[in-house]
Amino acid sequence: MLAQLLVSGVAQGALYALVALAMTVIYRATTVINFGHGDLVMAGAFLVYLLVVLAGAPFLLSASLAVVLLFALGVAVYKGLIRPIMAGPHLALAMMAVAVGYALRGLARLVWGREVLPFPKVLPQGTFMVGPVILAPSDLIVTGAVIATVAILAVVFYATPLGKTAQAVFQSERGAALVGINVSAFQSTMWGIGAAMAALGGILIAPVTLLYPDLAAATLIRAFAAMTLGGFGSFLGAAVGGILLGLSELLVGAYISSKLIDITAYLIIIGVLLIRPSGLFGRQTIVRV
Amino acid sequence: MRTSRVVMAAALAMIWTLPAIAQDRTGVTDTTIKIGIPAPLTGPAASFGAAAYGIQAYYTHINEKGGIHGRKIEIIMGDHACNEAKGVAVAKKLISQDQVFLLNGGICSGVALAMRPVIEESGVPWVVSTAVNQKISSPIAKNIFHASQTSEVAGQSFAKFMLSKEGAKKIGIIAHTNEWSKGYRDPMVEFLKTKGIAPTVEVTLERGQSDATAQVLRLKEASVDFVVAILYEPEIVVFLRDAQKLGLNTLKYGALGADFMNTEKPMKGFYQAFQYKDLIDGPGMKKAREMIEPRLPPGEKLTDFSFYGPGSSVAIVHVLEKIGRDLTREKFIAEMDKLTNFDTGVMAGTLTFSPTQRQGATQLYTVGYDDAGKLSVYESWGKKVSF
Repeated sequence: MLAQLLVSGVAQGALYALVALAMTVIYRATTVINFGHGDLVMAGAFLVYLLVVLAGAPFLLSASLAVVLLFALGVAVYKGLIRPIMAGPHLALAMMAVAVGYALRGLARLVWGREVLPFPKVLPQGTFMVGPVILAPSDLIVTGAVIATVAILAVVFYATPLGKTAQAVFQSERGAALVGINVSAFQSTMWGIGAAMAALGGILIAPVTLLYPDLAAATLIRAFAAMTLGGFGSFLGAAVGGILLGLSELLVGAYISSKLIDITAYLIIIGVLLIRPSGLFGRQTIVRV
Repeated sequence: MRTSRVVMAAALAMIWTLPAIAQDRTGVTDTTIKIGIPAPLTGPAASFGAAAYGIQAYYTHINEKGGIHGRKIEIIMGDHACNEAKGVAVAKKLISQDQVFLLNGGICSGVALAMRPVIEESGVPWVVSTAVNQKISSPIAKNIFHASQTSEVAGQSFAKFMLSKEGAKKIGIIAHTNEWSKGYRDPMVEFLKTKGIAPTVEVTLERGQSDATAQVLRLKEASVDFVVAILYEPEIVVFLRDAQKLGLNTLKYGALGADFMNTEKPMKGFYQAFQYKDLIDGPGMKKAREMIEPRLPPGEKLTDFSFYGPGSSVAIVHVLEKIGRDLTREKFIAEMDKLTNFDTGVMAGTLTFSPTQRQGATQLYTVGYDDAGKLSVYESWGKKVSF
């Protein structure tokens, strides 16, 4: 049982990590935690459903289109709703993100709200054994997607001029602007990338459950817990945090009580904020005066 | 002396006319009978609103046939979005502002429970169409009739079906921790206790969880004969997916939480509580389907839930027809109390009400695949319902 729990915990945690990574991209660019991100994940899944089931498009084309459309949505949300209030209090930005999320959820309910839809079986089906452990192809696909995403983000953010730009903007928007960085263009692109990653998350989550407007609401808090555990702003932290959360949930559920699975994320948030607020890989900010 | 005779005559006149004054005809005109349908038409439980549209379709069918004794049914929908506060507001609006003759609805149990005090106090007859919590109609209220199978009946039915399989003794449960789940789980466990059986293992899968590995492994370890999954639709899918993946091959029984058309295909060894007479595309439901499907609102698709309300409406129309033109709320209540073994043509079993029995639906069937892979409706293990 332990081996199965560990393997399944990693696979489940990879789902949380995928969502947490996307939220980290947006956070790194704008210091905004997008509390509406779960609904972007849902929007991505519904878009693919629309294209595959209603328009009859092939899955890969539909998924690609959904990623592109969510990218555009992310840019539009930033330019239309976030940028105008960037100079205001952070709480306003958080509330705007929540509002956008609820608006997307409401739109989905308006169109499909009374239906719980079976998502097309787009991932390979069946299972296979590796020793005593049972694996599904979706486990490998999601975990592989997380590893690939972390690797790409690491290369982009630490080894390219774009990464230098990101670090500059994260540390000081004004300073970055003074040295000629188009901060607004950079931030809108990052929102687009974050939203596109949300679409990817939706495409991988929806096939394993049913599709409904509240699909990703529970995943959001887990992604937030992953970011907290791993350290805000750290891609590696988001990935490791997500996987550790997935493992914790399954081990707690199997060996202590399944009633505690739902609150594991909250307990982790509380514990991390009390013991090590910067998380496993986050850096404590020191301000010299 | 003359004065006292006048007083006596006036008193007698009052006594004779008081019964007429006491007869409440609110919501009835020469040409219409107003029926209020409180329902979740929006919000997270909006998929259950299909039951309200099924009720509406049935009443439309009745109106097309000429109505009831020359009166058409005027339907007034009240959207409560499965929110308790909104439900109370909707009930008050339908009663006081719209002045309906009766209420036919009640789809989210929590909301129905919240509405009960308002409705009971008003005296407006309420025929509960769908909600399952037995506390909606217990203790008995003069004006409340519960026309859907309660969770108590359902929980006992789960247990009866499982125990009807020879040798089935070890039962596992996977459930939410909410009131809805407890409403099924508690009566089922109570019934099992009367047979000397306690659940072998109980695990929790909360709403929104997308993985059931830990729960499935614990159930597998317990080697149960049956697993009862008291879960809503998305979570049943998660459970069945992980059960199939991890080789939990034991028999499984699902509660009334899912639209079977979305959940069941194809799962040998998975049975689900079934509240209808027959499969919705089966011969036993042909008449109901013909009445309801063509009259659903534009854009509304026929689902299992479309039939999860009209059974109560069939009973209402039957009673209204029996009463005749001189329609009052008091007569409606009195006639409903005489309903005995009434076949709605939609629901499993029949409806029986009396002044001391207000939970009228006491039978639930089970649906599952037979050995030939054909979806079938069962009364008990191996015994199919016949028509």
